[in-house]
Amino acid sequence: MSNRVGIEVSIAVAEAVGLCDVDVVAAYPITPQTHIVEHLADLVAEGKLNAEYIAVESEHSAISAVMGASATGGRAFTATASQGLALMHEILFAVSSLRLPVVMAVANRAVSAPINIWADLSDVMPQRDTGWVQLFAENGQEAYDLMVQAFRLAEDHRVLLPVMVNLDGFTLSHMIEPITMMERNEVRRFLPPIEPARLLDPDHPRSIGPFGAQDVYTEAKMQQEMALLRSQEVMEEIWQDFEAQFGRRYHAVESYRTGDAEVVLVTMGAVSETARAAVDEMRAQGIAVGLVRIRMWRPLPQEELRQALEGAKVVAVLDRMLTPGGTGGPVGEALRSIFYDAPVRPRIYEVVAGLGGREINRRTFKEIVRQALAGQEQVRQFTFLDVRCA
Amino acid sequence: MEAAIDTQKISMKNLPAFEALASGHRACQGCGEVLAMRLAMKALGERIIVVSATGCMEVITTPYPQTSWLVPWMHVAFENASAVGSGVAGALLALARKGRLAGGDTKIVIMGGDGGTSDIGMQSLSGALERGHDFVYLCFDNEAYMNTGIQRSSATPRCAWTTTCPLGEEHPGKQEAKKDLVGIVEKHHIPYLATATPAYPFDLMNKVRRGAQVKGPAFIHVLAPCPTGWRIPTQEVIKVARLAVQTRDYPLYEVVNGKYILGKPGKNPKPVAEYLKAQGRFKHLSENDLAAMQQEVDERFAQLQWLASRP
Amino acid sequence: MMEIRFHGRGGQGAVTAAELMAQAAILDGKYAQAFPNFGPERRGAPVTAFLRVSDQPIYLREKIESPDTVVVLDPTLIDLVNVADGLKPGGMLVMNLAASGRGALAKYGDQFQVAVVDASRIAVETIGIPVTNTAILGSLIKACGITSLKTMEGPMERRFGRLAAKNLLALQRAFEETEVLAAPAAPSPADAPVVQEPCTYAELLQREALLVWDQLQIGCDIDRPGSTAAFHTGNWRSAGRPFIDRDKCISCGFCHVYCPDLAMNFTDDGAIEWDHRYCKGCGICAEECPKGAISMREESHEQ
Ligand SMILES: Cc1ncc(C[n+]2csc(CCOP(=O)(O)OP(=O)(O)O)c2C)c(N)n1
Ligand code: SF4
Ligand code: SF4
Ligand code: SF4
Ligand SMILES: [Mg+2]
Repeated sequence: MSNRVGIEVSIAVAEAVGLCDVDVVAAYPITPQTHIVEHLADLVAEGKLNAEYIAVESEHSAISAVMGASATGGRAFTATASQGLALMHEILFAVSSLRLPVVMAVANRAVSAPINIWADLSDVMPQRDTGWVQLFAENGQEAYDLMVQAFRLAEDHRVLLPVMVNLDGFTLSHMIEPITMMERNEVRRFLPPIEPARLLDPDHPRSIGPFGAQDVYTEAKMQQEMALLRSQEVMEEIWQDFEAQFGRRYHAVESYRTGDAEVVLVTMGAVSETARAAVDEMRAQGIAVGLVRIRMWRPLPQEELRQALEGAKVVAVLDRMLTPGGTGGPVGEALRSIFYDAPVRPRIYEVVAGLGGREINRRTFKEIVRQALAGQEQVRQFTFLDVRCA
Repeated sequence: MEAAIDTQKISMKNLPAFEALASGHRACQGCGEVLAMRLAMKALGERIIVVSATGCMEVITTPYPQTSWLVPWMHVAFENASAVGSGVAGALLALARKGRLAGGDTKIVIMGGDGGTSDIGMQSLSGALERGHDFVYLCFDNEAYMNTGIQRSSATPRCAWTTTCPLGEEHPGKQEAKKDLVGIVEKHHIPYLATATPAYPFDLMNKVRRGAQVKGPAFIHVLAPCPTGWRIPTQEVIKVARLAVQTRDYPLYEVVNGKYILGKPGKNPKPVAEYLKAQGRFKHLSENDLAAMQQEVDERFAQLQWLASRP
Repeated sequence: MMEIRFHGRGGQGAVTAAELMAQAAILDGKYAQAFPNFGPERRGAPVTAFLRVSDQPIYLREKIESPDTVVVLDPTLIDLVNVADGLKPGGMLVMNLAASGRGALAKYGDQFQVAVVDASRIAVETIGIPVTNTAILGSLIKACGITSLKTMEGPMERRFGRLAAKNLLALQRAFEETEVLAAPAAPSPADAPVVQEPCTYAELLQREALLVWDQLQIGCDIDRPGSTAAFHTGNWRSAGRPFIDRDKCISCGFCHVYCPDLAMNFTDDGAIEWDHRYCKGCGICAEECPKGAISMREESHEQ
């Protein structure tokens, strides 16, 4: 394994984007995304990446510029986090509605106020309904691999949707860890050159982004929804090809030691590795606990989740975002909805924790499992696990 | 590669037959903005990509499943046309370098109303100007947000009525002066900048052509009367636009690589009152108001003359 | 409950007419709703507005499909749009028509009741401009009741301020001058129109959809450049059309350059030709023709 190197995950992500031969990068700096775009700027400046780097004046313009680039037939990339993602919100809908296959990395970070630069999912979760494919990386290798897979998924003519790859700010983005890097020719074999489904071309004029009244809006949304649902099958196909070529296997939902588990933890993102370690330690103490990790969040792999959690007595969900005034965090709500009609329903024990980068460690998961098994009362649909109270 | 933009000077004898817009668009009767847009596009020809901000022109040309556009056209949102256009520019450069562009040379045309340019789109415009992409920007200034029903913009002139600067007892019409958008753009030191109006159609078309021929950003500010919002009879749209120039309320000029070039000003300017009184949105103006407006016009014009006198 | 549809042109105040009437009905203690039908079309385009009035609270927030009454503000619309579309058999048509244009009523007379008034003339004589949206309300009140002239005073004063008196005069005069033509004899049961089976919801959707979802272009693109040419805006004209005096025309082309709708074009042999399909009747060409060769004159709608 000569290509196995110790590298900061942000740099690796940028390298992956470079290997994909992107044509345009447009980005605006924000912690903890900066290292990704700085490295891309380096690659372009040094002539290692034949692309245009557009140093736009805001994230709103970053996402707008990649739309323009994509509609012109270019492969386009941007990255952001937190406030930047929030600033893009309006345009995120337009990217997916206009079916432009751009790829974006999000170094997940809490949203102000108080201003806070550390990881949670309160930036990405409010973007859940913008129509993007949303993937979550657990470690550096995944973040790196997902970047390459993301372009192939986005550009597949059965999909033609933007793809967002999420990686936890700092705990993943700034970590130095071993990553097996790919070769440019290998990536080219896996990811064919972009073939735009349609583009702005004076020789074949078309109007992109028209005024669509009541008589067509619903059909337009239906078209988009069907493409988003289809993207799961296409992703499975891509993951099979990826395994065949690179030997690493990915699934939309991944289960760990769930076979005979009484309680199953559900997590997303980089905290999942810690959760796995906690599961091992609890198993060693004789607790029948397993872990289910969601890698693909949109489209939601409902059937896979249902199967993965079916046998459990209690499902213990960690949500790293609060849905203020609602019925729990987004993951908890999704699981309740999946099981509502099931003949046998696990109890769903949901906690909200880790906001604004508050430490999540093995103790956290052990406490979640302890509470879940103890059948602790929940006043609303969730427990605020790590809040200090008088 | 063939150049995207024809270099010939346009006159009635030498009028391009090309139209980028088809009839059947849904603009109001006598819309001065759609006329200005039609003329500008005529000058540009077919090797262009148009990126449009939200506004009247976007809505009235693309009612699904029909489009008036005969050239490639894209619209995303109200405030980001310049950014979308920047991305188009980036992709064209990269693709050309990589030999992946099929057709000939292509010019990027970004357009927006006064709202989409001098208010909500100001940031993305400024960014694109500063970065120096190769595009021509067309601002069609009808001095209000017309698409949403005649609300005030920063380009609405002092005293004018709109639905959000109504004629109240306390505050009759807009209290503030029109934002100096052209001055702001000029400070970006772009290679070409000009003012125009469809009342002088050949001047407008030639400026658009000249702007499109420079490498880098060019900006054409077009005063485009909106009969609906200005409260003028439709047949007077051109007359009113002409009065704007004849009264020096809206002088025609170019700024080429920083050098101001004032169009022939005409010896005897008409009083600005003639321009203002032709419009319902100013009909409440008192003689005092008119005198103050005249003074503003004179001062602005003197300033412009001074700028044009510099070497 | 009474359901009313107004036909006007963008900018003529059909929506205001519906609103004023609703406000008056509400002042009378009734329940009412007035609402527009928004679209991308602008000033001059045929538009509709709706009004519901009832003694009972109204729990409907849907379009009016089969009105009891139809009000037509602009006589030029009668030949352009099917103003009686969905009007209930025996329903009321309130029309603004000059005495000379009453031939147009023949086709409605045996199915509907008709109230007719020359609202354009009344508006010019009272308000000074042919804006008929207040005059026509006088006619509607005469034909259908709904509210009284007296109740209209409040809403009109609030809406028009200084100009209210003139508008109230227009209302009053239209009320007096409206002729309600004899109602058709009640249809005998044998002649009663066959009641159409209501189609299913799915059929209805199918009929309305321009395209089913999987046939749309990716991202709802439009790949038919210039396709608005299929949409003829000629029916937006209401105040005359340009006539070219061939003796004066020197084919200079200014009318072509200044036309916002590309409705003045050169023929192959260099003459200027007017395109009735797209001309919206703005009058710019007539104003700008350096030879005074164009005049705006009323057109006969039979053409
Ligand atoms: C973010 C956002 N805010 C508001 C609007 C509503 N809006 C659409 S067009 C428009 C005004 C357009 O004014 P202008 O740019 O002057 O163009 P005009 O219609 O006058 O040609 C407004 C306010 C919008 N589409 N997006
Ligand atoms: S409102 Fe004004 S700018 Fe908009 S279409 Fe009508 S005339 Fe043109
Ligand atoms: S502007 Fe007048 S003279 Fe010139 S072509 Fe038109 S009609 Fe003829
Ligand atoms: S009146 Fe003249 S300028 Fe106006 S649309 Fe008709 S032909 Fe064109
Ligand atoms: Mg405007």
